[in-house]
Parts: sequence; structure tokens; C-alpha cells
Amino acid sequence: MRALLLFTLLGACAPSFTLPLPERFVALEDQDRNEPPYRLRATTPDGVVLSVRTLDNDVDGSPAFGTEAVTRRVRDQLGYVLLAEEELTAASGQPGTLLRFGRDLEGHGYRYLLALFVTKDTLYLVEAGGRDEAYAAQEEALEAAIRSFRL
Amino acid sequence: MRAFFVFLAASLGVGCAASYAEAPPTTALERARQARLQQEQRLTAQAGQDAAGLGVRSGVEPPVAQLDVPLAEAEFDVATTLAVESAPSRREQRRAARRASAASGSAPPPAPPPSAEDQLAARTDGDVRLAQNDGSTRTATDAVDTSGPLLVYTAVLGLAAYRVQDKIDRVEAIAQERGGFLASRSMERIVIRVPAAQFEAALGEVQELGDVVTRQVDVQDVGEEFRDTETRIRTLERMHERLTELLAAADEIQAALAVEQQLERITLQLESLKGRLRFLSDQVAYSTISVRFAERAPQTEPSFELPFPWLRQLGLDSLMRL
Repeated sequence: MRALLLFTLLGACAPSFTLPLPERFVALEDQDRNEPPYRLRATTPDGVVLSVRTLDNDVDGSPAFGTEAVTRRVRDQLGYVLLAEEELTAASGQPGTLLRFGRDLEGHGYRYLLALFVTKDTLYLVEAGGRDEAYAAQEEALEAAIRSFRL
Repeated sequence: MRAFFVFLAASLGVGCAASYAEAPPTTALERARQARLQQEQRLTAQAGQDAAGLGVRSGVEPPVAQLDVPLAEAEFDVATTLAVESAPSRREQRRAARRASAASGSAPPPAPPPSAEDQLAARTDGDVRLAQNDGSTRTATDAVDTSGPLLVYTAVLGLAAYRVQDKIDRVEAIAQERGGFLASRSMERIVIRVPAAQFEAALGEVQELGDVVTRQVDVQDVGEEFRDTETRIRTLERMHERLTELLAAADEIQAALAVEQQLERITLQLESLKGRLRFLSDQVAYSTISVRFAERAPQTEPSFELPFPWLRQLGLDSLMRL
């Protein structure tokens, strides 16, 4: 894993975080077109994507609330298969939840990984995904990166 | 004696016995031929097509046109045959074919792959393992205590799709690892049978393969039906024996025909009931797990939506659209 630390700062009030970017990943620029914007989005040449988004926790939702909301959306409404749900801890000590999803699309299997960290003010979404074969080659590095996440 | 047989047949529900008694001898003979031909056809049909495919006869007597023995004697032979044995099973016919081939010194013809029916029969003929609630097993042909519940376990699972073919392969492997077998398989659906004692563990393993969308588990106690069927079989077997004795003593065609028809009816009932008993035994011995893999249908009906727009940006579509 390449020890490249990405510091992201979008404005004075944007929460900061660090994420060691795995080898073969390249950070993309101008990722604020989406709503909410990606604070970080990086990709490999074969289309495995890693991203971070930060959201205001303006409803003071608990981690359990956020996890269930995400699970219901992705699983029940988008039709993904929930493969596993695990507890994890960020490198900075905050507890989080790791959700592993899978989906068949047009004859190909895809993986979608989502880590959720909830603090009093901020909800951190770390997403990763790609086609099965490409994702499998990066899976270990991706999970190591997520466990090294600092918020 | 004749009146006795006619009375017996009528009392057993043979409506045509009286007309046989009143019919002239030539008509009775024609009807005897016809009845015998029908019996042959039934036996042949019951024996199935496998024996024909193997080039062996189905074990019935030559056609009527080739008979060179007096009809009354032939009828008696057929009736006696009917009384003491049912139509040969496919496996019996295959064995007969192998014996015939071995006797003639020629190589046996290649055996066709066993049908699902044959596979089931192989598991149910003579040595059906009945799983008990305590995990032990016994055989259906043993003199076993069937007074307790005989439970049939069935599970129907709907799992969300992800690498479906791999998962279907795995379900089939689970069945084999647990002493079961594949019942059917298609692109997105698989049905396996596992020994009843392995049902819970196998179901747990299968559920681990995916995201459970729907799950239905049924347990049915077939003990009462099983015991009732056994009782009916015993009763019919006693009746069969009595009719066989009466047939052996019959000295008139009409009377013999009347008894013979009853024997045929009882034989068919016996075969049906024995088949049902085998089926129940199999159902008790092997639980059924049916799994259907499918994508979740998109929600079209109005649904509850949390007022967080970012939730709608989750998923691969957003993530991978660079």
C-alpha cells in the first residue's frame, strides 16, 4: 500500500479526514459535481472506485439509525444483496459499520463496500466498488485503507 | 358354487357380474378375451417403456391370438398371476434383461440413465431410511413403531441474486455433503433433498449463501395418513388372499371372471397405496429445500422515503460514474 495520505479540506467548516490511498488508485479532481459532493474519489485503471463523502449529521441520528437507513436503501430499494455487516473501528478510534453488498448486473457480479462512521456532527461515508474480478484484486488493500481511516 | 361366486362379486361391487352370469357362453368367452387383453395392456403400460427399449418382454403372457391353450385354462393362469404378483417394476425388468443377456452370452445393452422416478424408487424400495426426531434412523420395511409423529420438513427460500450460478453450485454441494441429492435445477432455482436429520443445518448453510428475501418453513405430520395407509394395505392384502383362494377353486368362467376383476381392482389399489406409502416414507426421510435466486423487484408502489437526499446517491451507479 502506498503511504500516500490525502488531506481534504473543502472550506473552513468541512470536516477533515485522512485516508491512505491504496496502490494503483489515482485520486480524481473536481469531484464536487455530485450532491452531496465527493470529498475524495479515486479509481484504478480497471474501474475499482474508492470514495469518501461527509454529511452533516443535522438530525443527530445514531449510528444504528444511519446504518439501517443505508441498508434499507441499498438492499431493499436498489436491490443489492447484503453479504455481511461488520463492526469496525477507524484508525482514529471511532466505531463504525462495514456493509458488504453484491449485485449481478447484466451477467457480471459487482461488489459494493460501504463503511459508515457517525459522529455527533458528521456522517462519514466511505464507499468502494467495482466488478468482481477487479474488486477481488483490490479487496485486501481497500479494507486496510478503510481501517486506516482517520476522522 | 356359481351362484356363490356371483353373489360374492356382486357384494364386492362388481356391477357387471350379473350380466356375465346371464350372458351366453360365447359372449362370456369374448368378454373373457377382452378382459384378458385389457389386463395385458395394463400390465404392459405399468411396466413402462424401459423394458421395451431394452428389447425384453414385459413379462406378460403371449397375445391372445397366439394362445394355443384352452381359454379357460389361460384365463385361470392370468388370474393366478395377477393374484400373486403385481406388474414387474422397471428395476425388475432391467434385472431380467441383464439375466437374459448373461444367459445368451451377449453383452448387455447400455442401461439408460435412471429417471427421477427410478432414483426415487431406489431410495424407497425396501430400505427407506426414516429419520426420527431424535436423529436416529430406521427403515420403512422394518416393523417399526409408527405411532409417533412422522414429520415432513419443507423449506422455500427466496435469496437475492449475486453470482447466482456459483451459489446454485454451492447449494447442490451442500446437499451432497449432507447425504442428500439434487431434485431439480434451473438457471435461477434449485431444489435439494437432504436427510431429515440434516434439514436444519443444511437450511442454515443455504441461507448463508445470500440475502434472504423470503423464507417459508413448513412441518407436516403425516403419521396419521401413514398409519391409515398401512392399515388399508393390510386389509386389502387379506382380501386379496381370500379372493385368490376363491379363484383357485372357481370352476366356471363367469365366476372366475368376477373374482378376477375384483382381484385386479384390489391389486391396483394395493399398488397405489404402497406407492403412497413409499412416497410418504421418502418425504419423511428426506426434507425438501427449494431455493429461488432472484433480483429484488424494483419498488414501484409508493414507499416510505427518508428525507435525506444523499441516500439516493448511494450505490454503484453514482460511485462508478466518474
